Amino acid sequence: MITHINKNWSIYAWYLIIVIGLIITIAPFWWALSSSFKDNVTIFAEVAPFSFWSMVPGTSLDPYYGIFQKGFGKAMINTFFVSVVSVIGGIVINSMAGFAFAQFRFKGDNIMFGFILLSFAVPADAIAIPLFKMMRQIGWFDTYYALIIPMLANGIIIFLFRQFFMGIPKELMEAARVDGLSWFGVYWKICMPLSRPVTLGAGLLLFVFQWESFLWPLIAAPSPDLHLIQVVLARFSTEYAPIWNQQFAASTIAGLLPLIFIYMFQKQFVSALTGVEQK
Amino acid sequence: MKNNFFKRQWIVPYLFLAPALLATIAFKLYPIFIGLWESLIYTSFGGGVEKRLFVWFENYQYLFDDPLFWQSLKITSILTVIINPFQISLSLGLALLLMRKSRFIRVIRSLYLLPIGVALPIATVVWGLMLDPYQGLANGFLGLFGIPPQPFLISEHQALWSIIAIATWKGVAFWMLFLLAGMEEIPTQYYEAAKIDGARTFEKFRFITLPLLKRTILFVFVADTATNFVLMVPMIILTKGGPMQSTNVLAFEAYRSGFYYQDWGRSLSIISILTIISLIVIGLQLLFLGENKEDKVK
Amino acid sequence: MIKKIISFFSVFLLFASVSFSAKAAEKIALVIGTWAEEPLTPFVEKFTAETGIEVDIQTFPFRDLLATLEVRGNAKADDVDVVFVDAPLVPSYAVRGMIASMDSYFSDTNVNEIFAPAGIAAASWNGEMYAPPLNNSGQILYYNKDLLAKAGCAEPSAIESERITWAEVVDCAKKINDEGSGTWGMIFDQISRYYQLQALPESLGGGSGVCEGGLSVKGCLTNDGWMKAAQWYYDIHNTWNVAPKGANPDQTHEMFGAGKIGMFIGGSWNVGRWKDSDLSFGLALHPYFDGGDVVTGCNSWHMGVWNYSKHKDASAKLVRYLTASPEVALAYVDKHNSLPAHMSGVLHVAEDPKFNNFPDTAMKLATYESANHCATRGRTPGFLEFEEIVNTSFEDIRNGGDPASVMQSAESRIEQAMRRYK
Repeated sequence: MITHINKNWSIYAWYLIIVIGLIITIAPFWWALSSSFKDNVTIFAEVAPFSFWSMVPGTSLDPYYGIFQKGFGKAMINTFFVSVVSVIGGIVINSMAGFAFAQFRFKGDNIMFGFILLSFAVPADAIAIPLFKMMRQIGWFDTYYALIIPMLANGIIIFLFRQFFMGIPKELMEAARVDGLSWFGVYWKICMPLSRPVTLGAGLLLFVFQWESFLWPLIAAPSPDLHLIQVVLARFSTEYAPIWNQQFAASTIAGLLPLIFIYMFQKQFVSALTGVEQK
Repeated sequence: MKNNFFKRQWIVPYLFLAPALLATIAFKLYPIFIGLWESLIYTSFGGGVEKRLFVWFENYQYLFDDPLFWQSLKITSILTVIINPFQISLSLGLALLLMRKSRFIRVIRSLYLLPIGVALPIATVVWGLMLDPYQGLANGFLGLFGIPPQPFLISEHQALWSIIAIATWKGVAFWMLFLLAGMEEIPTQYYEAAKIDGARTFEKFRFITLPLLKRTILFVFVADTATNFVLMVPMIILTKGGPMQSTNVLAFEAYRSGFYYQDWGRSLSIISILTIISLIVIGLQLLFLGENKEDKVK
Repeated sequence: MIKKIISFFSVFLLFASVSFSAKAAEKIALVIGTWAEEPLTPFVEKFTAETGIEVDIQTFPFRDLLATLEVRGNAKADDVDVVFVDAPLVPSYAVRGMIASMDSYFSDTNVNEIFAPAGIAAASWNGEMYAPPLNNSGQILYYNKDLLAKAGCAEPSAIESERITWAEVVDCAKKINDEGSGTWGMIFDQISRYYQLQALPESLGGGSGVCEGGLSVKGCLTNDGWMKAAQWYYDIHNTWNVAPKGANPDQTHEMFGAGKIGMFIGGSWNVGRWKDSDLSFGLALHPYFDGGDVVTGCNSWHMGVWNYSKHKDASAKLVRYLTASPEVALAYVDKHNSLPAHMSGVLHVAEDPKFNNFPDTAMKLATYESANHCATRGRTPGFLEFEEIVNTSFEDIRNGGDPASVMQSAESRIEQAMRRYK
């Protein structure tokens, strides 16, 4: 929408702002990436005083060998599995709930919506211990179930879908109902296809929740077979301090994967509009 | 839907709601209720014997007498008032910038979203190293422009701002993503029509983008607020609430009371208070930024 | 369709409710630090071969280890049996009923003949031994030879009669400081942590900070010794500005390794980091305040039996097998540069000529310091609160907070927290 300003200076200004923003955005990540190819002494020798070389990637692959020897590969597969299941399950149940809140007025809807708000106003760490006790009681402790199922229902995602579904024109749904489509049909065949961007956004949120989770997997699933990325990352340390280059190496990989995901799905994410217009 | 039962209107919303609601009750509300209950219990170990006493609101009373709690509440309020509008205006501005068509736009957008992939604990550790007062990259960078070294995280007056910067670095990418998606959804015809009417850039933003983005902005506002109320990773890793309690937000004080001190009565009392504050703020946002619900199926 | 969804979920939940936790008859879970897995595993396997008791080893990094034990203690969970215990947390775990007394399992022997005295002191609370020590730790002074020579300082000594004072350390540090190249005079390894800084008030006669009985800090954290130590700590970071702010304990050794620090007060374990590097460094005895006592930090990891364990006898057997065995002690010293808590390990370090060669002398120096000048950390069931508040207070002072008022407020906050143990 700014496109009509075609004066050259505006383009240059745009590029300038974009580039400065990019530097701030990328610099920390780039520094971690550069450092992940160096030994620890070099990393710290180059930052004080600040040297240009600290931003130039090193050539050592040892940190990467190191982390894969310590179970990083297995943790990545685990996290990927847990994340994908959480994304699929989470999208289904939360979008259904969002649909209910957006489309219907029913007894107790405000109270239930209040509960949903409550569920995300409480910090996850605060409920970790009762949840841990519960997992032990129902026998899910130290299984994938403990990692996945408690994380599926998510108030923020329900709220996200509710917000989006409220924007879908009611005429569209009423027409479909008149044509004999069930409510589930309306949800599944009309609303969900229209909400591709929001679904991808929700998926990304759910993915990142699992990708970042640390305290819960640490206490709920201590077996090495069930280790997730953040849990393993904390293990790249000696008794007294982190092994910096290994932590950077793991962070680089852990950070690049979602980026690739975003890059691949960006087209769907931001151009779902065309789909709406064709209807 | 061959079954008669499912044809009844009233049951439909409940069926849609059931899976998420049941899971929320079991895995969120039930533990929250337990936590609320535990906040009324005082545990002591006098004489080496564990005693659990139900003390009604004594833990809360104790909190209200504790200057540290009020300090925490103050810091939390300052943080909330600053960080949320700051992150959202920045996200909105960035989303507007990234709506411009350019040959590299897909790459540029992806790079701007990079912080999403970097977990907050890692981002925090890296920023902590970069903001080191003597060895940090940030001061090295400022030095290029002749700006004297700043203390950042070790200064009572800059630590909270540094944490806001770190959280914003991570958060803006996230919220911008949703705003960007919302903007892409606005039909281009609206802008074309406005252009014919001679609308200026700002007018288009004010009268087309903002109103049509309202629902997305509400979501982003509420989600961002809720997220920042429980922001504590940078405090856990970098400042421990310091220097001089200047970054000791309620969420961190609760975390510290619980996981460091094992004083769960205190921890969960703080959590309860924080949750109530958070709900009130979110409620106000829904009230003032919300939409009416009249067009729903009864 | 809705039916399908419902049946999908019920099947899902059905599957989900199947538990996979199988339990063998006599199998115990051993929770240790990640760093201890390599040295301990062969002995654990031997234990299993000898006794038939199976052991499942679970490892955690330092911070996660404490968290995982607390969560289990809170839930009174019985899924762990033998646990690593950080020495100063023995009273805390004992009072809160997380670990069991070991007295009855050592009644047939004299523990004073097995463990060095500092280890036994740290292992006990209220006259009972809860968690025997697995190893020990000691602090020494590392110095960068090149930086000291450039500044014209005499190299600090490793001989008791020539032990360097803190005043001498600061004098030399002032000469080493060079802002232009980012070089600093001195730094503590575990900066702003009670573990290492306790040595300062102790050397000034201020004591551990915890009052007799372990249930109060009133007057014990703000006495002369502590106030002077706090002021000195303020001065090195602010008035004299010879030690950097900002860097945390995860980075300090990297800075010394990168040649940016003149003198580094640190644990013996650091020596392994620079053994094969180009860094030209020397080792000396821990500094002290002129006219005061010589005191250094010490103690390390202990092992305890989880109080909620269902296999206490088997667990106690394993604890004794690992802590009281000379073999484990020697392997721990020789292969992992860990200070011994076991008497035969202490003797081994004193007698084996290998420890006369640099840089293995670090082991000898640290063992000497630990055996003669060890100050066990404050004995209190409220150590979790005590340590956290003391650490953040030291950090506040380092960052320029007024030492007197910071220590006053620390004292009153800790005193408040201790009400739960009275």
